[in-house]
Amino acid sequence: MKVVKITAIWCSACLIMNKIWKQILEKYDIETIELDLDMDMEEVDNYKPGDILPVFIFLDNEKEIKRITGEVKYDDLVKILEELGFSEKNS
Amino acid sequence: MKKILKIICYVFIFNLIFIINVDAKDKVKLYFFHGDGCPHCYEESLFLKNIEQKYEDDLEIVKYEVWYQKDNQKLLEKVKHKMKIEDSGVPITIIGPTYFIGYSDVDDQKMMRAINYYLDNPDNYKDIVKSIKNNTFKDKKIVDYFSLYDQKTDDNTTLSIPIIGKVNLKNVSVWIAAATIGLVDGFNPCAMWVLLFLISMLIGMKNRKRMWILGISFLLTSAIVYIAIMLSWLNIVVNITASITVRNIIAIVAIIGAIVNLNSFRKSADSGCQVVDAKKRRKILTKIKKFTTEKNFWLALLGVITLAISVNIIELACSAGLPLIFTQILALNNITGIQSFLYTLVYIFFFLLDDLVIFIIAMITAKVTGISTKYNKYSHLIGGIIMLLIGILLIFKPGWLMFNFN
Repeated sequence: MKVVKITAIWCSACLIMNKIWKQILEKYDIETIELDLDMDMEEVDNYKPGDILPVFIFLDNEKEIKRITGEVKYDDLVKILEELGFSEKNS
Repeated sequence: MKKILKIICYVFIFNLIFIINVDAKDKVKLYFFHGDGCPHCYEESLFLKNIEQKYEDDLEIVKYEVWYQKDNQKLLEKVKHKMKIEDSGVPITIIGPTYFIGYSDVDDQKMMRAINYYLDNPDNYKDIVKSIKNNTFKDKKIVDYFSLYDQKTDDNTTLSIPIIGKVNLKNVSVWIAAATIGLVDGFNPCAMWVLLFLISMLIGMKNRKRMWILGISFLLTSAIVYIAIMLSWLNIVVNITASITVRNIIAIVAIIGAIVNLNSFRKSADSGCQVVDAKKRRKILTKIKKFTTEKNFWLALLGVITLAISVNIIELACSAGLPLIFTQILALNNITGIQSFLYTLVYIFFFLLDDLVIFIIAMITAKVTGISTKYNKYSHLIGGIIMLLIGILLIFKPGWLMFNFN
């Protein structure tokens, strides 16, 4: 399973979520593809990001199984990850 | 549900229009007793000409020349006798039971306050001159409601603070309004994305001095554009705001703005960044990239200034409601000239405060910090509530916006 993370450098919510995601990656081993809305336009278009940034798209064998948009609290994100079957690095 | 809301809105707006029409019928008369060739009378006549346009249908100015017109002289003597006016000079100005002897610049504000007071309190307005002229005057004692109210307001709005001395609460209230509305307006996300992109580009520059200058120029130009727009708007508003009709129209604009803001708050379930139209975004991003990589400093500076002007003018539509309402508060309080500039400056300072904090932190730490978009969402809620409150007060209790809490 991997995560496509779409952000933009001008988006304040993306800056907040970048920090939170960094914390998540310290705990969980998640393959993350980072895309920028303006720099990786062609690739981003494939995922139809919509009107709200940032976007986190969870893919299982290239099939979208979950999408999160906007700001999400750390704890809520952990809950979602656990529901999706991710487990902590040391467990 | 949507249909019901729409019907409620229509009924509300219809009622407001009805209120406007009812209010428009109450007219205040200002009697101006003057002498041909008297310099103070001439000065006052210029002021009256100005306010006659301003109040439109709400004010009627009746002029009596008393140096050469004998009938008018007799009328003035009669009025002075009944109203117990002992002074013999001209000009004499009478608004309902309130009179002014002589004329100086200070009287401008007081006369306008008296007109506003009688427009807002028609029950206390009695056309004394008309009843004296028609021989229907029977009052034993004339109660000058405006002077009583004005004196009470003066006492209520002054507070003695040790060391600082006497502080006018009315002025303090306007300062607080400037800071609060400016701060709420500042969290408006419309132009924030441009600043964040600019900062990210500036951080990549090696020349720190240039980085600071370009960033500050962007913020400073934004402030100047905003101040210029607000002061020009104030200039228009201050000349038309005394008219109840115009005031009510601005109130309706505020209420519509409130509905839009509260709707945005309700709709924005996801806190996050709203993606701006791709074409517009890429155009601005290309501009920023171009001048941040420009070798010639002056061309880069020109680029940043042009960008700030265009972005702020375009994005103003996004947040026009709050600056408009603030200028209306200034106009209602008859704040013009240098004072209005100072109040607007405070508004702009608080408006730019979040931008300034983000910019300074970024410049010092070389990292862009984001402010949670949750605050943007709540700025819609607070902005909506402020607009709704001010809109309602403009119609029913405009005196409260003049910070006269009686």
